Amino acid sequence: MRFRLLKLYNLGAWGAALCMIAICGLVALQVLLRCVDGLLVLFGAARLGLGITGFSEIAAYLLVGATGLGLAYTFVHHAHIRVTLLVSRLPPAVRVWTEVFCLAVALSLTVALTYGLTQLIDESIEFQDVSSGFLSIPLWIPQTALMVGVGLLCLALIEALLTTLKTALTTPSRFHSDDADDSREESHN
Amino acid sequence: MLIMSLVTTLILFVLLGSGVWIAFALIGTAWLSLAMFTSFAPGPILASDFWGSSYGWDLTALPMFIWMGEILFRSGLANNMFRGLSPWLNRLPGRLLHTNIIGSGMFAAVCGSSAATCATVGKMTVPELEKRGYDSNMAIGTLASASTLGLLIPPSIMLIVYGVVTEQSISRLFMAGIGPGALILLLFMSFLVGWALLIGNRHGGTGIADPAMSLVDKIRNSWQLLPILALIGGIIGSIYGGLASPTEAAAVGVVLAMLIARYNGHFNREIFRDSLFAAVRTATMIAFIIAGASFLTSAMGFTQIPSRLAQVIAGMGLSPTALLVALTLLLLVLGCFLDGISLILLVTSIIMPMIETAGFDLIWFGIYLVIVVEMSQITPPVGFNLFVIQGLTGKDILTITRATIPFFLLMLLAIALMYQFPAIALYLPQAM
Amino acid sequence: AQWNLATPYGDASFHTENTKQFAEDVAEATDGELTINVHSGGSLVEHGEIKSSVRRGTINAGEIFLSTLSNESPIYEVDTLPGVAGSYEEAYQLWEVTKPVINDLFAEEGLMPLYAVAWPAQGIYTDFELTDPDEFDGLRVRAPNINTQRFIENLGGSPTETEESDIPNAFSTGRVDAMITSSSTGNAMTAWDYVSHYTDANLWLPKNIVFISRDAYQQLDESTQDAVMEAAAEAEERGWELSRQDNEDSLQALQDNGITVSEPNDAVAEALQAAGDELYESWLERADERAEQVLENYRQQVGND
Ligand code: NA
Ligand code: NA
Repeated sequence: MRFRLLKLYNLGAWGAALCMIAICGLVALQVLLRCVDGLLVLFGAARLGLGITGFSEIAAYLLVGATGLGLAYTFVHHAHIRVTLLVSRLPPAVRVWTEVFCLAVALSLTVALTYGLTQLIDESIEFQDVSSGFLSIPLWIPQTALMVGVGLLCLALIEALLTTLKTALTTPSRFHSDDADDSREESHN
Repeated sequence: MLIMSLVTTLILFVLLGSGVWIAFALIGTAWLSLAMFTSFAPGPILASDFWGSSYGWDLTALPMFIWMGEILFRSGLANNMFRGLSPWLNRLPGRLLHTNIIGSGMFAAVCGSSAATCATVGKMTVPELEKRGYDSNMAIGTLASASTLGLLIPPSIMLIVYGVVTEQSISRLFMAGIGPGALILLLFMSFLVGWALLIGNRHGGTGIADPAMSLVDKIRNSWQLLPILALIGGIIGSIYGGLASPTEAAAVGVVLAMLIARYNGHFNREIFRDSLFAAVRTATMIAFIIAGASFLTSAMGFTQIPSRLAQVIAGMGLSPTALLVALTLLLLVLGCFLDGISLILLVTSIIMPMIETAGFDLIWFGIYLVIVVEMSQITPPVGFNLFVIQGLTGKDILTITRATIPFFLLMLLAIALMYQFPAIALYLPQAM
Repeated sequence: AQWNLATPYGDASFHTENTKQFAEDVAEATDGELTINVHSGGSLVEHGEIKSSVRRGTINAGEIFLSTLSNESPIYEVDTLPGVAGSYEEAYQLWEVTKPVINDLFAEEGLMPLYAVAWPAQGIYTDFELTDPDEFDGLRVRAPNINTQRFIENLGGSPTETEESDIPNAFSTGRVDAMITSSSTGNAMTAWDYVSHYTDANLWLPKNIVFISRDAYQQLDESTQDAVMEAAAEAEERGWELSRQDNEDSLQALQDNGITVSEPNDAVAEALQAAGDELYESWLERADERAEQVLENYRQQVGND
C-alpha cells in the first residue's frame, strides 16, 4: 500500500528518534557525572555533587514523544501486531471486507482518542497544569506531542481505509494484505 | 457478573480474531464494556488513561533496552557471541538453544521487565538460531518463557510494585526471587536436555554440531565472547557499583553497546540510524499495547469484574492448599486478559487479607504471585512476551503459545515445589 | 449513587484504612444510597492523574499527597516547610488556618476537599549516628521534592533524586547516604534493611487530602450530602488519631528491628532550624499576600515568631 503522506509519518518518526536520543543522552550524562564523583572519591578528593536537576522528570515526558510520535510510522511499516491466523485463510474478496472492518474500528477509536486528547489539553491549559516534580513542566507540551502522534495515526488510518475501500468496491479479488511478508523481511534484514 | 465477564471475553475474541490490531482490540473491548456495563463515558477515560500510561520514568528503560538489542543485533556482536559459545555447548544436548535460557537469566539480572528481556535477548538469539537450523518452535518456546524471568530475578519492577503495595521489604523480596529463578532456569534446561535426547536430535532440531575443537582452540575462540561479557559486566557493574539505578542502566547499556560495537569495528552511521528506527518501531508497538492494556485495566476496575471474582473465592472458606489452587486458577484466567502489574493491583486488595489469615508468608506469596504473573505473560490473548515475539518473528500468537506450553507447565511445577519446600524462596531472605 | 475513589496508597497504609472506613460510614449512614468504591494502590488511576481525573469527572473522589501540588501554588508547600509545624497540634492548627485558602483553590477547579490527615513527622534516616551539623557536608540525601532539595542545600548536603522504589537499592549500592521521611514510611519500607539510625527531628508533617467533585456532590440529596460531610469530619478526627498511633507503633517497630531512634542534639537541631528558617524566608518571597497573611496569623497563634 502506498501512503501519500509518508513523509509526514517519517517526520513523526524522526521526532520520536530524537526523543530517544535525548533520553539516552540525558541519562548517560547523569551517570557520567556520578562516575566523575566516584573517581574523585577514589583519589581522595571531595565530590563535585553535580547532577541534572529533574533529569528523570524530563526523561519521563520525553518518553511520550519517543513512543507517541512514532505511532503512524509504526503503522505504515506494519509493525503494530495483530492476529491474522483466521482471516488470512479467507478468500481475498472476503478478506478485503474484514480489513475494512479492522480499519474502521481502529479509525473510530483513534478519532475518539484524538478528540479526548484535545479536551485533555484544553483543560491542562485552562487550569495551567504542570508536572509535580522539580521542573514544573507545563503538561500541555507533552500532551500535544501525544495528540500529534495520535493525529498522524488517524491520517494514516484514513488513507489505508480509503485505499482498501476502493479495492473492496472495484477489484476485491486482487486484495492482498502486505503485513505478513513485511514482518518476515524485517526479521531477516 | 458472569454474563459481564463472558460478554467482555467474547468481544475481545471477536475483535482479535477478525484481525484488529491488538492495541485497538484492547481499547475496543474496554470501550464497549464501559459503555454497556457502567454509566461512565468511555471517551474521557480513554484519553486520560492513554496519557497517564505514556509518560513515566520507570518506563524509559524499555525503549532503551530495545535499542541496545537492535545495536547488538546489527553490529554482529550477537553473531560473535554464538561463535564463541558454540564449541562449549557442543556436547550439551540442545546445544545453542540453551543460550535463550542462560541469556535470559543473565539479562534478567540487569533488567526488571520481561518484555524488555524478551525483545533484547530474542533480537540476538532468534535469527542466529534459525540460521543454524535449530527447531524454531523450541527457539521461540525457550525464549518466550525464559525471558519472563526478568520479573523474578532482581531487579524486578513487579516485586517493587508488590513490595510497595503490601509494605514488604523490597530487598528481601529481591533476595527471595533468586532461588526460584534458579530453580526455573534449571527446570527449563533439564527439559531442553530431555527434549533434545528424546526428540530433537532425531529430527535434526538441535542444529549442526560444530567440528570438534581442542581445548586451546576453544579458549582461543572464546575471545569473541568478550564484548558481550564486557557489556553485561558493565551494566551490572554500573548498578551494583552505585553508578546507575536499574532504570538508568538501560541507557548505560545503549552507550556501552555503541562503544563496544565501535571498538569491534562494526558500527557506523547506518547501523546507528537503522537500530534507532527499529527501536522506535518496536518500542512504539509495545507502548501502544501497554496503553491499550491500561485502558482495559481501568475498564475492569470500573466494572469490578476481577475484584468480584476474587470476592467469590474469599467467600468460599477454603483450606490454605485449596485457596492457593483456587487463586492460581483465578489469576491464570485473569492473566489471559490483563497484564501483570494490573493483575496484581486489581486483586491484591481483596486477596491479601485472605492470604494473611491463611498464614502464608507474605514474602513467599510475593514470589508466588510473580511466577503466576510470569505465566500470564505467555498466555493468549493478552501476553506481552507473545506480542514481542510476534513482532520479532512474524509468527502468529497461537503458534507461539503452542511452543510455550511445556514451559508453562514447568512453571506450575515450580510453584508446586515452592509450596512443598518454601525454603527455595525463603532461605536467602531469612539468612539476610 | 455509586462513587469511585482513587488513592495511590496501598491497603497496608493507615490512610487507606481510614479512607475505607469513611466509605463504609457513608454507606451505612445513607442506607446504601451512596456507596463509595475505594480503589487503593493506584489500581484505578495513578497518583499524578487523580486530581485531574476527579476534575474531569471520570472518577468522583480522590486522595493525594497534598504537597505534590506545590508547583501550582506556594500554599501547598506549607506542610513541607521544616520548622513551621513540628507537632500534631501545630500541624492541625496549620491545616485549620490554610484550609480556607486551599478550599478556594480547589473550588476553582470544581473540587471540594473533604478532609486531610497528616503523616507522622519527618525525620532523618542515616547509616551513622548524626551528632554534628558538619556531617551534613556533602551528605547525599534523597530529596523527593523541591523544598526538601533546597532544605538539604541549606544544610550543606547534596540533594539526590531517587525514586521511592529505588531507595533500598540506592542505599545498598551507595548512591544515597540519607533520607528524610516519616517513621511510618521508614517502617513500611523496612528501613532497617539499609540504615541504622533514625533522628526523630520533627521537621514537618505532610498531609494527604481527600476531595470530591463538586458536581457529584451537588447531585446528592441534602440528607446524603450531610451524611458525607459528617462522615468526613469523623474521618478527619479518626485519621489524625490513627496517625499518632501509627507513629508510636512505627517508632517501636523501627527500634524492634535494630534502628537506633534518637532526638537531634542541640547543635544539630539548631542547624536544622536555621536551614528551615532560610527556606521559610524564600517561601515568603514566592507566596502571595493571602498565603503570607495566613502563615503570619498561624505563627502568631503558635507563638513561635
Ligand atoms: Na530482573
Ligand atoms: Na496473558
